[in-house]
Amino acid sequence: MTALPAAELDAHSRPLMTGAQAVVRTLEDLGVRRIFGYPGGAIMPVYDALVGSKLEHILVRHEQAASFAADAQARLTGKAGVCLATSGPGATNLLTGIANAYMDSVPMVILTGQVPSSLMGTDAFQEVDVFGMSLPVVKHSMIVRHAEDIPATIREAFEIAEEGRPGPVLVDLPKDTLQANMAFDRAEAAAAPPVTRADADSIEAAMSLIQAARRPVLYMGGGIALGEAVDAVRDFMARTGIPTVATLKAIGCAHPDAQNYLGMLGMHGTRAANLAVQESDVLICCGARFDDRATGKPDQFAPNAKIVHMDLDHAEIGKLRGVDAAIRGDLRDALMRLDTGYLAIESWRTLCRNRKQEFAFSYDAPGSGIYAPGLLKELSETAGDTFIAACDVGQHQMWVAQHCRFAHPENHLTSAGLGAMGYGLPAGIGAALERPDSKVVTITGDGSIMMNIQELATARRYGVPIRILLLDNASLGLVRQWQELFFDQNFSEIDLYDNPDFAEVARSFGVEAFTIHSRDEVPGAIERLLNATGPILAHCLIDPRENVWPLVPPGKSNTEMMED
Amino acid sequence: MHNIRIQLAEREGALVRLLSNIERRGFIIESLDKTAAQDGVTAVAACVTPRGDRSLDVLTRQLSRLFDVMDVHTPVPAHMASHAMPPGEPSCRHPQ
Repeated sequence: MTALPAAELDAHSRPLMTGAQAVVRTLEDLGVRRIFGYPGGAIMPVYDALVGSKLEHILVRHEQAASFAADAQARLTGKAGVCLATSGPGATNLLTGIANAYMDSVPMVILTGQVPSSLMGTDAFQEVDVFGMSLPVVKHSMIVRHAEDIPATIREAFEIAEEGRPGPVLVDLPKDTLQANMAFDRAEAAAAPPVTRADADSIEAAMSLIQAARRPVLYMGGGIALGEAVDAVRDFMARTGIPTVATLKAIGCAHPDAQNYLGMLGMHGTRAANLAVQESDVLICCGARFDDRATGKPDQFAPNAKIVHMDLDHAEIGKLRGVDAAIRGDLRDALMRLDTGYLAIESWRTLCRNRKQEFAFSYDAPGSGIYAPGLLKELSETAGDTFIAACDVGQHQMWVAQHCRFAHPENHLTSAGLGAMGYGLPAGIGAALERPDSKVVTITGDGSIMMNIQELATARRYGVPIRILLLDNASLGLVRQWQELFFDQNFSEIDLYDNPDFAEVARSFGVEAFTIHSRDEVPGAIERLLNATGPILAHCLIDPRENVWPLVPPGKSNTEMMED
Repeated sequence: MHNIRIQLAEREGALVRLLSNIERRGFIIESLDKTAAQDGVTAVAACVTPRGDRSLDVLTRQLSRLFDVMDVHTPVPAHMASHAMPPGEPSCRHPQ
C-alpha cells in the first residue's frame, strides 16, 4: 500500500495519512501498548500500518485466542483489551471471546476488517455482517463509513468499553475506509466520567434494614472488582462483622483468611455459604446479579430474606429478584457510606463460623493417586500472593474456585458467565505478558486444552512465562459427573481415552513438558512449574472418577447439597 | 400489552439493536411505529407483550442503558406498567 508521508500536512497543519495509519496512531495516542490479532484480507491495511509502530502485536494462531488474551489483559489492568481480526471468518472466530467479555463485563475494543463499503451487503468474499451477528453480545458497536471518523470512533469505543459497567465494543472497518487518505485529528483520551453516587435516601433505607437484621449476609459479586471497591468491601466486612459469601467472579474480594468469609455460594459453593444465605433475613447483594448458578431454584433462594441490592447498573436491580432497598451507584462510595457500625449479631456470626470449620474441605483423600483439590491448594499456597490462575472450564475450574487462595479478585481469571472451554491457555498468555513477574498458571483439562492448544505456539514464539497445569482425567469430567448423577449413568460422548500424549504435543511445539502420575510427585512438579521462566506444561494424570463436591442439583434449592 | 416510547439517535444499526433487545429480553413486539429523523433523533413507539412474567420496568432500564437510546417512556401509570413484584419475590421463573 502506498501511504502518504506522515510529515505531509493539510491546510490546517493536520498530518495526512490513511485510515489504517489513523487506526494505529489513535491506538498509540490512547496509550495502548499491546494488541492481539491475526491478519487477513480486509484488515491488511492496518497490518501494513503496524510495521514500525509503537504497538506490540501478539500474533495468535486463532482469532478466538486473540479475544481471550485481550480479555485477560483487560481483567488485570482494568483498561480495555484490544483484539484485531479480518472480516468474515476472522470476525466470526472472535465472537466467542466477545460473548465471554460481555457476560463477565470485561472492557474490550474489537477491531474488525470489513469488505469495502461498496460490496457490503452483496455476499462478497469473506463478508459477514459481524455488526449484526455481535449485537446481542456487545455493549456497543459501530461501523466506520468515513476515514476521518476513525480517531473519534475508536476513542469513543474505549470510553464506552471502560465507563460504568464495562463491556466489549466492536468497531467494524471497511477496507476502503482504511485505505482512504485523511487529515488526522488527534483523539485525546477523555476525562474519567464523574462517579455516580447513590442517593442518600437509598443508603438510609438500606442501613435501616441492615441494622435491624438478626441474620444478615453480604453476597459479593464481580461488580466489586470492576468498581475498584475491593478495599471498601474488606473495610465494610471488618466494620460490620457481617458473614460474607462470594460468587465465582468475586473470589478474592475478601481476604482468604477473613474470619467471617464463608466462601463461594451456589451450585459448587461451600455448605457454610449456602446455609448462611438460605437462613439470612437480610441479604446484601453487592455487584452481583442473582445468576442461576449462584441461586439454584430462584423462588427458594434466601426465601426469608429482605434484599438490599447495590449495583452501578440499574438494569440489574429487580431483574431476577424483587428488592426491599436498591442502591444504584458507585459501589466503593456506597459501601463507605453504609455506616452501620459493628452489628450485634454474635450468635449468628458464631453459627456461621462454626459451620465454616465443621464443613471445611478435607484433603486426606485415600490412595496414592494425584488428588486434584489438594494439588491446587498446595500450588496456590506455594505460589503466594502473586498467584494468577487462568482457568479453563470444567471440573478443574470449580476445584480452583473451591481450593485455591487468591489475594485479589483479578488474580482469578475464569470464564464465569459464558463458561467457554478454551479460555485458559490464551487467557494465561495474555496474563503472563501483562504480569511477567507474577506466577501465572493456566489450569486446564484434557477437554479444554484441545480447544485452543495451537496457542502453545504463541507461548513458545514470545517466550511467555506461563505455567500450564493440565489435569487429565481422559474424559469430559463435568459432563461425565452430570451423566453419572442425573442421567442414570448413561455416559454419552465423554470418553477421551485416545487423547494424545500431551507432554509430547507440548514438546513438539518447543514447550518444556513433563508428566506425573502419583501424589508423591506433586511437590516436585509444583516447584518445577513455579520456577520455570518460560512456557512449561505439567501433565497430571488424575482419577477419572473424581467428582466436584458439594453439588446442588439443577433445579434444586441451595439447601439440597449433594456430598461425596 | 404495554406501550413503550423511545427516543433514539439516528445511527446505523440503532433501530435493529433496539428491537433485538426488546425481543431478547422477553417481549413480543405487537406493533411498531417510527418517525423520520429530526435533528438526528427519531421516535419509536412500540406495543409489547411480555413472554411470561418479565417486568416492563426492568426492560425500560435495559433499553435506557443502550448508547443510542436517549429516553424511554412508558405512557401508563407506573404501578400498572411495572409488573411490580412484592419485595423478595423472584421476578421471573426459570423452567427447571
